Amino acid sequence: MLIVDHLSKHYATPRGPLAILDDVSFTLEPGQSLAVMGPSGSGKSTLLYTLGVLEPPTSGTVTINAQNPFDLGEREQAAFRGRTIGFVFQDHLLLPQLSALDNVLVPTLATRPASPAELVARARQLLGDVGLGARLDHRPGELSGGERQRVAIARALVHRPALVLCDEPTGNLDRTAAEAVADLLVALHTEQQTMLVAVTHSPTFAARFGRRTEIADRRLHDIP
Amino acid sequence: MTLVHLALASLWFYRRTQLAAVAGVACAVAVLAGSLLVGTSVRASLADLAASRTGRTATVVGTEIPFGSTLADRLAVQSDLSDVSIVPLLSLQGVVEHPGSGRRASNVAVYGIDDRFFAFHGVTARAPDSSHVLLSPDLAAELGPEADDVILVRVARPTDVPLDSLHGRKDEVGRTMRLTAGGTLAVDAMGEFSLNPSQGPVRAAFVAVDRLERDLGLSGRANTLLISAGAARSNDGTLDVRNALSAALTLDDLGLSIAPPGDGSPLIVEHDAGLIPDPIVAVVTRVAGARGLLATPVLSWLATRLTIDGRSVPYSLVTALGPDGGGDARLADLLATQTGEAPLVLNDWAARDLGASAGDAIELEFYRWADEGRLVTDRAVFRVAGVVPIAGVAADRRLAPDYPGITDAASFSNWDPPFPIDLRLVRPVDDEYWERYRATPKAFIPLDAGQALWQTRYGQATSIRLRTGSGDVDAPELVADLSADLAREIGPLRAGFNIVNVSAERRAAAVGATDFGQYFSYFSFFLMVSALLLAALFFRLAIEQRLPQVGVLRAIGLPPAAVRRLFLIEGGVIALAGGLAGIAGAVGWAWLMMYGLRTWWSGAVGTSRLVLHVDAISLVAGVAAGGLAALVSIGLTVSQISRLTPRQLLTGSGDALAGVVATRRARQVAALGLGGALTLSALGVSTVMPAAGAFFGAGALVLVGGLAAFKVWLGREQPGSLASGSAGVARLGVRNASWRPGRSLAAAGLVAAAVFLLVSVDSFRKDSDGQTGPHSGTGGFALLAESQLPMVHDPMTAEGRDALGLQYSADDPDMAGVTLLPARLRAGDDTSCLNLYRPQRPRLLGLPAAFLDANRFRFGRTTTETDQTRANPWHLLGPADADGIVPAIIDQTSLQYVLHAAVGDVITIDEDTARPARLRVVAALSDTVLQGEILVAEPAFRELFPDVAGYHVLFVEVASADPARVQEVAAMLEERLEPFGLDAQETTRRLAAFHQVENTYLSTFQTLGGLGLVLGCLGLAAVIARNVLERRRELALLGAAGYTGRDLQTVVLAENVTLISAGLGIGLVAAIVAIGPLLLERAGTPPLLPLIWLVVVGATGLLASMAATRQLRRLPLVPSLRSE
Repeated sequence: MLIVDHLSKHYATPRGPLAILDDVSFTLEPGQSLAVMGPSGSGKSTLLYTLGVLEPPTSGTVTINAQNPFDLGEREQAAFRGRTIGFVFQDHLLLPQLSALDNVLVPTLATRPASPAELVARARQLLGDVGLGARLDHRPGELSGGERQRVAIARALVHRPALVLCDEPTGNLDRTAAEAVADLLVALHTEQQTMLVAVTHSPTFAARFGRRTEIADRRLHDIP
Repeated sequence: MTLVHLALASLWFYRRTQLAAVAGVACAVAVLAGSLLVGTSVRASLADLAASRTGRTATVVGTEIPFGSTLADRLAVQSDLSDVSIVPLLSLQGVVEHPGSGRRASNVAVYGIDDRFFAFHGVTARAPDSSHVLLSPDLAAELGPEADDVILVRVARPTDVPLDSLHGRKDEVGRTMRLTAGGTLAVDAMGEFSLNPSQGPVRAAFVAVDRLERDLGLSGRANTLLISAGAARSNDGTLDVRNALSAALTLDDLGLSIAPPGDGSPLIVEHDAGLIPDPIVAVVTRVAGARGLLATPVLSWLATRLTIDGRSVPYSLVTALGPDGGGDARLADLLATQTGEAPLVLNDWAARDLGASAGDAIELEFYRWADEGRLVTDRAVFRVAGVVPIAGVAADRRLAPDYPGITDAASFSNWDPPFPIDLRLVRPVDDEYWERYRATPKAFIPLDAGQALWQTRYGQATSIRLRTGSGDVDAPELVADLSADLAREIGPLRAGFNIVNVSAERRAAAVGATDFGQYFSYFSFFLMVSALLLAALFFRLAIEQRLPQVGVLRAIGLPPAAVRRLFLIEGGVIALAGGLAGIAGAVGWAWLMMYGLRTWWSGAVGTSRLVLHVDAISLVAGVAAGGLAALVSIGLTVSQISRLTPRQLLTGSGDALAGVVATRRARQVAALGLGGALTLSALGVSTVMPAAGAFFGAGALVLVGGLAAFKVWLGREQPGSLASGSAGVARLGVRNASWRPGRSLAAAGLVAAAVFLLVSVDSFRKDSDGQTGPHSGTGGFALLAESQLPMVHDPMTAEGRDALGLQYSADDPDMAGVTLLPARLRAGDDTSCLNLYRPQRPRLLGLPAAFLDANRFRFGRTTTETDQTRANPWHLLGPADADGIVPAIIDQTSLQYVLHAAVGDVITIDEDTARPARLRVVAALSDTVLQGEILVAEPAFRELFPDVAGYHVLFVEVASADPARVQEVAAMLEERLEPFGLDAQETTRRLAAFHQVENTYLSTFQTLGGLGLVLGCLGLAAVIARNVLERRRELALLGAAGYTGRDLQTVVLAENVTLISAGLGIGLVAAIVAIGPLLLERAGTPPLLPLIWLVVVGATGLLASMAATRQLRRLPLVPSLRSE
């Protein structure tokens, strides 16, 4: 379960603190999904990075599965991320030097898997699930934009994370590819009962989420 | 999936960028390992050269006074030396002249050899016959004689009686031999035989030993033994040699004799030198005492006149006896008489002749040879204590030692003493006395009174008489036993035998005064830094490309340490690959540098005999050090990533990485650097610190502070808008310098460091022109002359110049305006930078008081504490202190770079000899002609080297500054002092020779620095090209907005001109601070060459920028925009 409680985020600038988020609170259960919309610069990505334990909040708390990750040290925080959270970025951010399969396996670098073979099997299965079972050895440069994003989704799910965070996952894709990726993401989320939070500009994509919100005036508002 | 797998995949994927980093590391490794190879090669070349010149010689035994050459055979049968070869020879210094061409070479080693010399070295060659001379290749080339040409060889004549004593034959300091040129002795036939390590030309002449013995009157004698290394012995076998010598030496080898008894008289111990050295007197006394003998020293001297009330007896021997009166009770009683003045006992002949009676005052007039090289007539008054008959001890004519030319003369008229006598004073009765009693003393005085008058540094006894307590000895076998005891107890070292472990010395010397490995590492420092900077820069470019990837890795849970590890694995592979690639480069680089040392920079080494020696240790050390340096510089880049947040990484912000170094810290560094520079400058001005060091340090701090300030400027707020038009385009470019502040700083820093080093170093060039004043590097002396043979007369006095054959009349026009200051010389190893070998026995000069009072030359650091020594630091020189440490002055360059010591240090010379000496460096001269020697006061010199006779060096001041007159004086001195083998050199030329070495080093540094600059500029071009590539979308957008290709080029050029200008400006300001004192010294005149370097740096940077931005003119807009 994800609990966000009175979360605020300010940045220090030469002209004084700049408030991005103010008193944001919500909860999310496994199997639930949340879409966050809002204009550019409204703080969507900041919220996502804070939920992803990539940036600490200025105040308030984030609790994921009864653990406040910001109470942990740097090394434990990293381990927590690797164990609990999966990321999908707008720019797929695949490693061009690795094959699709190796890209999916990259998160295993952060852990010491008890059964590497099992992880490889899961990666193969995930790539099969996203329709790339025949492209395991292809490098990102040999894949289309939609295919790359599907590899990125598989990478996000390889560790069976409790929370999946997506930053404009369809933002760089054409409509067909975007719909395919959105379908895949939601389907896998439903199948694996993850908590899914996505930042998007796309109302179509947001419509697939159980809860839709918008950041305005630094606060999170539900969209009916 | 493992980190190693990912790292290797990344390396392969980004191989093109990484190859550049590998190339950078390879360059650094090649330069560093190559520099170490240069050091190894120079050392190995010097060792090879020394080994080839000493042949099979492992140990050398040498003496000032020749010994019986049969010593070699006696040594060979000693068990300690049973498995070695030994060969005796005469080794002398001399002058060789080729009358046919008029060419003359001084400082020639003249060897008296026979066929055994070649057999010893395992060489098939024949010794010259007694009429021929063989020349070393260098000497033959210098003199250029044809076969059978006449060659004159003049050598110093070893003498038993010291030249610097009253009885020394000062008119026979050398002998000239007229020989025929017998050809050149090839290098592989030991033609370059030399026992003194030097990389310079070998001047050697090989003469038949029997001819040399005959001409020098040294039949059957030698002064050098060469001993080979035994098969089962280590090279450090001097102890074996010493033991063998102790067993093999006879009293004759030591110059001692025991007159055998036979008539019931005492045994008499005498020394060939006339005077017995004090340490030997002590041993004789001890050894005799152990055998129950009483030892009584005796000192006999020639009185030129004994006078009582105007009545005189000329040329009488006077003997000083100990309290026992030489065993004569009556004499003992009379000499113990308390008479006010010291007592004197006359024999009855003298008393009669003088009409003397007890209680008369008697004046004793005698000659004494003063230390400064003058014959002095002294007088002393005694009181006649009594008269004894010529009987018993008083009739013993053996109280006087044998003085050739005196004691062996049949009559007074046949006397041939080494001092003037006035035969007009000799009366018939004197001849009668001589005929009847020969050298029987006419008077006796107490020993202490005699020693107070006549003692010299060579001793204070002319003989030692040995008696038993009950009477005189008469057992002949006692002589044999005593001789054996004395030879063993005195031993080789006390007798003046020097045992030199040539093998060990050769190894120590070949280490070199200068570590060329270190020097070339310094010289190549900038090149290495450039290469490492480039390696780090390319690695950084590769990382910057991958920042979002790093963000992903961090986001998915990879801790910063794992990310660091990943990149360090990549860095390690790059360092390893670069290191391995650098090995080949290192050999190539070292070969190039050795070629440079043999050719372009031969002025620094004075030899072309340096060849490349590749050794694994240098290569491994260079690869390890270079690879490690590369890894560290890569590690520093990687460590910056760890400080970025994942979000900064994910956004891939270009500024993120470069912005890691906080502006605040840069501001602090700038303030600290500039503040430190001001502090150091103040310390330099106030002379608390040496000005040169303080200002160079200040310059370096300005460089650091300036670059930090530039960093602050790059990170500043940029208010206001860009102007329109071309100025606006240019301003856009200037602002763009802030886009990647890290890259901008690296580029400007590279240029700044290059300019700083090249400019500031050039200012250390030394100029010999105008160094003619008394406080200049020449000390105001126009000439510095050195003789091969000792000049025992004082050239500062008219009598001395007359005796030397230098000036016979006061109004001699050739000597007008010429002032001479002599100095004593202990020949040895050159301590200047002209000698690549580490000096084992440095040259020492003993400077007379007149030289010290003249207060010439200029000083660097001193230990002055009084106003007197502050006014004239030469007065810091003086006698040894209570601990026996002698004050010495050394030129700063030699002190620092050759002797590796500092002012205030105590250095020990001749450490492995019987007479090691400790010297305290009390002051350092600043850039003078006296770099080749250590300077001490003359009295201290005489204490240190009592055996060194006469003067060998003349400082010559010429009133006229006209070069023609100076050359005329030089020629005149060489001609008139030709018997002494004088060689006069212009001091400005000598100084220029030293400067050439230092200036060549600077040129080397600048050449390598220039190469570093070329590398830096190539790197700059690569960075610019990379920037253009990364910003092609931005530039394409500008193009779409109407900017022409020329505008775009202007934007990029403006950015790079900003960087180059900043680098040039910062480097120049830092250099000006560093060379501040020199600029002031030169009245603000800037050095020309550095200015040329500035132009070169600027032009190179600009050309590189233009080359890198040429692609902008052809920038394809649409594809570039599409990549958006």
